[in-house]
Amino acid sequence: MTTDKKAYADALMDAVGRIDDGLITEAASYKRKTPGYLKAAIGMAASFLILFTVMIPVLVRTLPRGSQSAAPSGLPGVLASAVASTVSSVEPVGQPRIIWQLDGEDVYHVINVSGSTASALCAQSGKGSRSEGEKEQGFRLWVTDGSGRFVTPQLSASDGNVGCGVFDYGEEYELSPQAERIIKEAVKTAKG
Amino acid sequence: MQDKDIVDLYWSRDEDAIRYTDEKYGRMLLSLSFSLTSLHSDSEEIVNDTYLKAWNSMPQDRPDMLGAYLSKITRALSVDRYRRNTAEKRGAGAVTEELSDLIPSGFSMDDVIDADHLKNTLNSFLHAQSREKRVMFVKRYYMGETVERIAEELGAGESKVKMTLSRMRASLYELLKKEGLL
Repeated sequence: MTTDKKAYADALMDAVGRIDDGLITEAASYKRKTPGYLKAAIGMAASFLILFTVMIPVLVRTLPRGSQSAAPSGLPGVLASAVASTVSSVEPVGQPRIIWQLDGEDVYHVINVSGSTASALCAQSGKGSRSEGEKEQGFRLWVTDGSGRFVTPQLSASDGNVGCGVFDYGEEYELSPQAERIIKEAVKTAKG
Repeated sequence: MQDKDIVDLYWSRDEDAIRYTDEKYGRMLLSLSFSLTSLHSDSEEIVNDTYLKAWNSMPQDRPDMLGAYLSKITRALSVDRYRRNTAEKRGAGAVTEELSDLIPSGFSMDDVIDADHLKNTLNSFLHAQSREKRVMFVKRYYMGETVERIAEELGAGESKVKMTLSRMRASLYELLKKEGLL
């Protein structure tokens, strides 16, 4: 490290040492979130309970014979039932694509889209309402326009959030209605 | 015992203030100091020095948040000790090295840094972040905690913590440039 660089780094380190007391107290008393696996286990147990005690008897009585239950609504449901390729890694070059990963999955789902669709979706980065990182949306989603960069519409459009590749993150923004519309349309017309 | 009651003991020059402070904050201060100095012997000495400084600085000061007040003393003493002791890339050295990543390699410090402006910019930057990000930043760069420990405390993956800190450093770099501080 050069002398100037070190002096500045030291000054920065000293400035960090003088941040607001409230920030220090907040960090020192921050409570750990319930681990994902525990949430999933609790959610699953609750789902089974509801399914067996309420939903199944109701469905048995109300569904006409031969009818099928409706497809899940909302974007997580649309993504879960989409016709898409499943891959374990994603390269950003070449074809513009939408990539997503549902909670609890290790693999990624990919559909090819046009360049204009990818650009329109990239422009929606951070345009939805902010969810303060605590509200999990059930999926993480990326767009690549084929030029070598990734954009995550669930994060703010800062330099750090563009081009970093596919990585784990906490959702900051709900997708804007416009982004949801673009994704649903792209999923509907995709062939996987 | 409430912070206010302990501060009252300092103000009335009651030596029990030190005992109650140690009971309530001793472990936290020791952990903070050890994260930055990597030496148990230094950490214990620094925590004792912290109590002495707190004793001498009150009753002039009447801190609302005693833990934060004490941690600032401990941190400053630990960083000073680290700078005197060694240039190893551990503790405060690792954290300083990581922060220096955001400074361009050809950087030349022509002007004296406005320390208050830098502090206020950092405060604004942190207040604009989500709670989880703020906590990660403070735990790493104020408390000197390792990425592994932060990930464990926050119930997040190490890759997420690393990536979040990396993105925050990139955003901070942009802000410092915009503010004329870099």
